[in-house]
Amino acid sequence: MAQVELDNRGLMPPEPMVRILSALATLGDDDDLVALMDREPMLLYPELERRGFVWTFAEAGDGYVLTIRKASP
Amino acid sequence: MSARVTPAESPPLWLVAPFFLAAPAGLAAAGVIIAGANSDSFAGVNLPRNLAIVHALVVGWVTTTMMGATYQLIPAVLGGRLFSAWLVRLQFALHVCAVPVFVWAFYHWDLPLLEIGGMMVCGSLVLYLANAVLGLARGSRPGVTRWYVMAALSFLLATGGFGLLWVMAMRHALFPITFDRIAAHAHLGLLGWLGLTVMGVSYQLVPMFNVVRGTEPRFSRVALVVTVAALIAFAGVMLLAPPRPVRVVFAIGLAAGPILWGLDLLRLMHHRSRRNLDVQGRATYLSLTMLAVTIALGFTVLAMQVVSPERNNTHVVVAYAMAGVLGWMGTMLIGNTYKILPFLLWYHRYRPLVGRAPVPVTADIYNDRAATAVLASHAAGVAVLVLAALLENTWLLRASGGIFAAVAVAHLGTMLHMFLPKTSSRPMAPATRPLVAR
Amino acid sequence: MKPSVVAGILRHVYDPELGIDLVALGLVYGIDADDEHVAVRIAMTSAGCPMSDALLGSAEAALSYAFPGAAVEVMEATDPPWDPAMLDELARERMGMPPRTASGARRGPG
Repeated sequence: MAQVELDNRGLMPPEPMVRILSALATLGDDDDLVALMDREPMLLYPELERRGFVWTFAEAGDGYVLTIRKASP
Repeated sequence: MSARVTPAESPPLWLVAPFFLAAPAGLAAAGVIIAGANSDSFAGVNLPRNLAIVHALVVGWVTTTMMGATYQLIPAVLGGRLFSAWLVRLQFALHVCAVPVFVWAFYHWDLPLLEIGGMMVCGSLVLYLANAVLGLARGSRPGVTRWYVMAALSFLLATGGFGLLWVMAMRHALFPITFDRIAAHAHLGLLGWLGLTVMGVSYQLVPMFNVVRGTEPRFSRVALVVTVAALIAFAGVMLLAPPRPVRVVFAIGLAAGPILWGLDLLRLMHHRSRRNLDVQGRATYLSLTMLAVTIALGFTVLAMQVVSPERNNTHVVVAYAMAGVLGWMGTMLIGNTYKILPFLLWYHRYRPLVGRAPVPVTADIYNDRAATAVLASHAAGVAVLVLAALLENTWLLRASGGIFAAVAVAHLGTMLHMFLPKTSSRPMAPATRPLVAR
Repeated sequence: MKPSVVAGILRHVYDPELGIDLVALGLVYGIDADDEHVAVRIAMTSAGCPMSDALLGSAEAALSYAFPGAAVEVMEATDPPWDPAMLDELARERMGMPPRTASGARRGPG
């Protein structure tokens, strides 16, 4: 199990979404993608769900943390 | 049996024409955004840029044109009467203000602005619906087209309502927006509003323009009932995230109506007396070809989702949506614009002069060669775009955007050209009295 | 005036969409004319045609202008329904249909 980190703070849409989606393409089955965010990525969620990922979204400091992993079959 | 001449009913030229003249701006905007595409375009369907393109096309170009067309057809073909000319003008003003705000907000993913833009668009839709529904209710000819238009108007309300609700849900974090919910909104709009309008209106116009006698459509009622039932079931079920096999059943139901309609249209066109095809006839055949491509791509998307749901199939979804909006709808709209606008111009400018002066016929008012060139360029643009999406080729994608922007300008040019004074290509009656005598 | 003179006027009233005159289309079902009175019966190529009002109005305007002293009456005829068989050779040619004789010969045995 590994953790892939992505700092999306200070980026304008759709940059955070594009970066997360391309990072997911290489994410292993047990890996976590942890992304630091300025805002909640509402448009990303349907794309995650469609590709079979689950996620948590939480406040952290003055930003947010989005954690994504593959849904267990 | 004979009937007395009844007073003519066609709406004023400057009530309807602005919709046709403003609409290509939507196609041009979409073309410019597509021309500026980068390699991210196929990363996800839901990218702000992709949403801006789809809404510029659907709300800006296609819906604006259809509003103008139905404002003309409801009184002229369906025997209704528009509720209020001022309401039409108010709706037009609101619509042309709403669409740029709406598309801009999608492009820059500005949720507060998107909510405002969405409300403005819905306001325009409600005004349009009020005028159209009241117009149809105030006396209309019996016939299947009327039911198609009524159903389409109901789905337009549902599409706008769901769309606004989804935006508000995202803005205020009311409930999650799933991909299925977006699919429901998209199909209600694409097939429910746009598809049923095109299907119903062409059942009326295709036999008329192409002089089809002795051949009746076989599936006009079945196609309507199947499409309405499939859409209601699809939209209802998609809100509840159904298992994959259920989706296959609904997809077949959604495709059945347009397929039956397409078969009917091919049969009508085959039995037409007017053998020489003009731009509208060519557009009809092109549109049917694009419909076949759309349905094939739709089933490809579905098959990919069932077989390997985790794979990114954005490029096929893009090809499917664009073949439907730009191909099936777009070619039909371009073809019919060259019928509706010349007729309106003839009706208002030249009909009062019939018998007194040489009067151009509709074929003199628009240039069929230029119109066909616009149609062919548009079809080429669709082919390049679909190919670009399937190959995930950014350069081809940009090229198609350039084609659409050019098509929009040329299409507008051919429309403006219609407004220039025209002379008749037909011989005039030997003057029984000199014109000056009157 | 003679019915042929009335028909001569209607030969210059065109279906704006097809660009073919009413007589060539076979839409003129009956002409009843004397010095004070012109009555014509005109059919439509399709029921519920949006052109119908425009077309009948055009015929009425043309006849009123040509015969200012006469009372002009234009009626829509619906029986029998118009059929492409009523097109004359000029109209057939304009619509891209084969000439009647040629199509008859092609369909004939041998």
